[in-house]
Amino acid sequence: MNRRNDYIPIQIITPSKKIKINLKELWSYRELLIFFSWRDIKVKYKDTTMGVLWVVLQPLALTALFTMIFSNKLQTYAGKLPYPVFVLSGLILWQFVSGSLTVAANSMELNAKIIKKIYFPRLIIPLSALLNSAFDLLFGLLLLLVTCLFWEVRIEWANILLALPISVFLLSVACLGLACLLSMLNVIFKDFKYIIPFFLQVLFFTSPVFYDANSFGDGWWAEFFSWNPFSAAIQVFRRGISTAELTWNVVVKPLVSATLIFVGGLIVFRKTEKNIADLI
Amino acid sequence: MQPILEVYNLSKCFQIRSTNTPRYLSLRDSLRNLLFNPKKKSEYLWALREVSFEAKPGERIAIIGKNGAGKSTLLKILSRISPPTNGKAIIRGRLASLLEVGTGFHPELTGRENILFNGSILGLKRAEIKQRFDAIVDFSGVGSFLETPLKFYSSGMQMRLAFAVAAFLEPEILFLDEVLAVGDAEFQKKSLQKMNEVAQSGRTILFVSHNMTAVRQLCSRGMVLEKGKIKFDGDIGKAVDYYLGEIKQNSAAIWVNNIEKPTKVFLEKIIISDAFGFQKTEFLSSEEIKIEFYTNAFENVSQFTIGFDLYRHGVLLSRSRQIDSIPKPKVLTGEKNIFACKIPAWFLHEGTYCIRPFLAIHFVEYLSNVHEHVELSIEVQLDASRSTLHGNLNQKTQPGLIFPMFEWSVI
Repeated sequence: MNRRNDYIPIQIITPSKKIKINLKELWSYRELLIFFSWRDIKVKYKDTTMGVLWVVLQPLALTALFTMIFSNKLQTYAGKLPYPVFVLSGLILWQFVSGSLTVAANSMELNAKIIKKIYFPRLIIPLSALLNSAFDLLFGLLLLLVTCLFWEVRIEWANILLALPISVFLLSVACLGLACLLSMLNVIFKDFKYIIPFFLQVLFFTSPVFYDANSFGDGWWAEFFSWNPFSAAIQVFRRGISTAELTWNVVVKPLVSATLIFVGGLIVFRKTEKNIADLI
Repeated sequence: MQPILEVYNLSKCFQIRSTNTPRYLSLRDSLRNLLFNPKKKSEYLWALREVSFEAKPGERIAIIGKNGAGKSTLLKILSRISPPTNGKAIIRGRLASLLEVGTGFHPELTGRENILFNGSILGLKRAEIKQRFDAIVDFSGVGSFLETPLKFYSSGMQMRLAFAVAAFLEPEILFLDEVLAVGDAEFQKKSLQKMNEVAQSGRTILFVSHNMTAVRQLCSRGMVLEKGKIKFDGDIGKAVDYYLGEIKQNSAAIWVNNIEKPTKVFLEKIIISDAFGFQKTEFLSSEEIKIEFYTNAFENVSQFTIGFDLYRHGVLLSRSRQIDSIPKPKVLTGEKNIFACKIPAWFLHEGTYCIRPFLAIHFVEYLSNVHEHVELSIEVQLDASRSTLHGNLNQKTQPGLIFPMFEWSVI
């Protein structure tokens, strides 16, 4: 086997206390990340019709529900967008958040057997949870496109192609941080999993999924929404659809908070990761 | 030559929270402790203590020792699954670690998909898996079921597929933990042959096993671990002898009655052995356990009963007497008898059991007071080669004090 003669990898095992992430190593495990995500997607969509249907049906049903309840009361705040489009755009992003966090939170326990027997950078696990939700997001976006066409919303591609990446990036950074944090808290505290649904619910209602953050005026809430990365991501995305102008000051504050969440989550993750095989 | 593996003073300490609290934390308890009970009691257990050794390229080392001696902990640290508390290890080369066969197998995925995923998790690149795919399938012999979800495989087929993937890893250093004990006899032979092939090809192997035959066949050097320390390191034959000698010394497979004066019927000795008469006190759950009571009668006794109580964790599991299956409980003066009792295979669970013998005239009087102070303990380990759909057997998948294999069928 000549393929490995080029270099001899040297590993040194010590009781290290460093929190630094070995990006090079993570990169060398990129195939495993793909395999992990591929496996979970495969299992989820095994009976394909139901899998896809589920991802599409859920936001659709919720959109119908919210439209029935709130469209009269909240239409004025939805700006230029028809309320169903407005809600759906928020819901598909929210699905990304709740999907990735729910999966990630339980991921260590689900993969405990592998974790106990094989070494790989554990970061792959929350990352693959994120990738899986991203896959669902694609279906969501398709659904949104159809809805936009149905309600005859004029689509400015240039605007959306700027807003969507920014929005998804914000979500991903914040979600990865939270995913890291939640997954490890779940490992440390066995009863933490009961808190997660509640936590997600709070996050849902404090993010402008079915209402417009601008309707709260300029007070304390406005400040909160401008710092909340989930709220910001949804707003940026909606601006993209409704061809409203995108300004940098909308992006900077949530980027700071998302980064803080990311770093915090990562520190907890790295600290717990080393002992994880002894903990689960 | 530069050693491919260097281990210096490797130690591992586990913190055990006080025995009456669970091993894991709960948020509720932590908050309560924070408020009301800030002092935490903990005990420490050194699973490994200052283990040092070197391995040269191509060396095949067996690590042997009793359960809990630290063998698996050592492999886990060297595989980077759990960190050491102290010490250092240097590994020069690509490493594959097989602490279990079929890690990451998913019942919903097909055989083909599982090969891909399992290979990937064991460190193979996609291209490498593709290159070996046919050989793996060929070796496993599940070729016609490649597109069938794994959940429809028999456990034997799953094991064979898993071992096949592992067999084609081709790393420079290979860690093996008792993975040889899989499948039927024919496949075991095949896999042992394959491992020999791997071993001959110049790879460095660290092999943890209780199977002394396999260890002797595969390895040239043996390390005996005891309570986290290396007790012996050298030639494999000597290591195995050392280990077996140690077992004989430490456990009492023979109990000789030198504490009592002769009674009406005297219990001379008790011998514990396996079905082949090999005296030991450590058994696999797949092994039969034979207990022999040697008696010498000095008087005629009718209604003579001899037997034992079986305890686990202080709980009486069963009482067994010779009269349960032998109808005429009578001994005559001068008779020397051996009463033998067999505990069948697949009856006891993993753990330590305690045997308390007794001799009596049925419902009348005890003939001796051995039941008050004689205790023999036997150690049972689950036979890892027996796996079910939900993975290897252990206390978690199979709770309970005993583990009988009841017969099941679908009617």
